[in-house]
Amino acid sequence: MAKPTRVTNQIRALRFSAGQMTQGELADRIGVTRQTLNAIEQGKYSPSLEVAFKIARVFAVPLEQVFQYP
Amino acid sequence: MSFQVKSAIAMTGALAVVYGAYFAIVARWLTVTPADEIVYQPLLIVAIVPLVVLAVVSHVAIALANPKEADASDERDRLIALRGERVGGHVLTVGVFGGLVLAMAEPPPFYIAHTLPLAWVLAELVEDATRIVLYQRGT
Repeated sequence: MAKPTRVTNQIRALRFSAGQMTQGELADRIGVTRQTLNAIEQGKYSPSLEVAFKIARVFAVPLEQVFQYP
Repeated sequence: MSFQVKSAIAMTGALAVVYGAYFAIVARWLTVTPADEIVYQPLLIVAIVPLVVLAVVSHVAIALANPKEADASDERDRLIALRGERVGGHVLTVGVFGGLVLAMAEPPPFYIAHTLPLAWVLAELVEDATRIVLYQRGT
């Protein structure tokens, strides 16, 4: 059973709006495995601040447009 | 399934097969021979060989099946490895203190010599199982 974090994200939507970028492509660009990116997308893992910033930088958006915290 | 999950599953299987067989053999000896007369040392030492062979062969096979992911590791893998080691460490600590208490009771050395490897095997199994669960459930 998944144990979701309270952090939500828009990575999947951002990937599709960025030319349907695959998980593997984004994972390679930010230096994590595809499995880790999948876990981040599904809310099963909260990444480090460094990885979070790298994701935001790939899509050229502010961090809070990628991740949200209630 | 990542290389790390497959690795943890492979090590769990190898440990369960090799030391499951070892402890089953030794337990059978114990039913027919007094503990202080059992010559367990050669088998205990030799048991490490099939474990190493199984570990190496399984990891080579996993790596060959997906060479790109074979050495891929990131912050999540390191976090999960640390959490697995912490949980396994608790089991090992309990086992070591169990062995210490047992030694104070001065039983035949056979029992102490098996409490410690049993604790190590259980600790490794718990560590690998923790890693597998954390990969599936989330951290």
